[in-house]
Amino acid sequence: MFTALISLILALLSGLLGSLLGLGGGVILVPLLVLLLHLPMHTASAASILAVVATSTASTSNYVREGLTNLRLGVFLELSTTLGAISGAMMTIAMGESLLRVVLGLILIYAAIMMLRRMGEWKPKVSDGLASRLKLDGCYYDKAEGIEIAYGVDKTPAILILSYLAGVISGLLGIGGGGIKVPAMNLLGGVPMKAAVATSSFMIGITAAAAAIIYMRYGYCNNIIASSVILGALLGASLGSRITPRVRSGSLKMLFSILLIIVGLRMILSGVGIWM
Amino acid sequence: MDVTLERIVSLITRFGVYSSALLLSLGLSMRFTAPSWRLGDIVIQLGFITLISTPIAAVASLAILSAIKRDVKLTLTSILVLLILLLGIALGAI
Repeated sequence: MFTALISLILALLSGLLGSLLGLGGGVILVPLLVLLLHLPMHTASAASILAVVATSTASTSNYVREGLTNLRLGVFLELSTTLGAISGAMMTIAMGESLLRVVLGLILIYAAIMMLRRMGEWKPKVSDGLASRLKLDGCYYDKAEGIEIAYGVDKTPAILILSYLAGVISGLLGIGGGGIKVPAMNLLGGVPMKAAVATSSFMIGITAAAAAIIYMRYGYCNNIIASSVILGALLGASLGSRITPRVRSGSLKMLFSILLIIVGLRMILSGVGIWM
Repeated sequence: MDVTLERIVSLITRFGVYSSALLLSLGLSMRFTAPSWRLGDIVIQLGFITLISTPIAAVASLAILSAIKRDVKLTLTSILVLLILLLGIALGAI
């Protein structure tokens, strides 16, 4: 009961912080479950990947209704991301606890750096050959600007490869992998940020579901912990989506990225057996 | 993108998340009020399955709706993603 309550609270905080900072909740949740509740990496990742399915599917419902999600682009990129998630989840079964901790530590440091990088340098691009043939270009109505924004998708093969990598990391660690997909679509492909975030959210649900199937089949899902974590994450994300527009997250981002680097280093040190 | 398609995907995802959250809350409370009762675990597992099936159902609905509209490229892509997901289920079973 106590563990369930603590997992629910940790998931709620991760979901809330995740939406405030524009990170997925998983990247915050997994280290919290491992370091504070002393859960094995496999159990923490399994609970987190299910929570990732829940939160990304819930936000997909809103994004799709608002017409922000490029379903055609999302499904196309899922060809490689889902394969990545399956290979990542299979790798996790074979990998030991300490190596997983080191990989998670490195990803946390990467997430901290990405959080501070400006993503605003978006330039509209024309679709490349592959994207034109598959009609991957999209458009949406921007409520804030009051205009219809049409965009093409460039460098599709490169985005496809990066999406595979995002899938591997998602399956391996139980996190969403939006930190790779969103910059790939936005910076390489020229997809506007809002459409990139919405499309990535739709993709994360499918990717995480693919990985979750494997975690479940191998018995890593602890019923009580995973269900508390899912419910907490859903509550946190819905609370976060309500308060995010009212919060200025600039200084919070700086503070949190320093914290992420510390936690990342702590995970690496515990992985190599220096500081357990 | 087609408005009907978007509306259906939005509905499926919303329904899936709500029903799995309901099943998980129910299962969890059963697990705590009557720990010896196996039903709580079964309801929780049902919640997990509903949750995982939701994004898969969204892709399946894309495959079906695009096939009805004779959008061959989207149909084939969605079916391929579904096949890869099946591969995941098969690999998980090994």
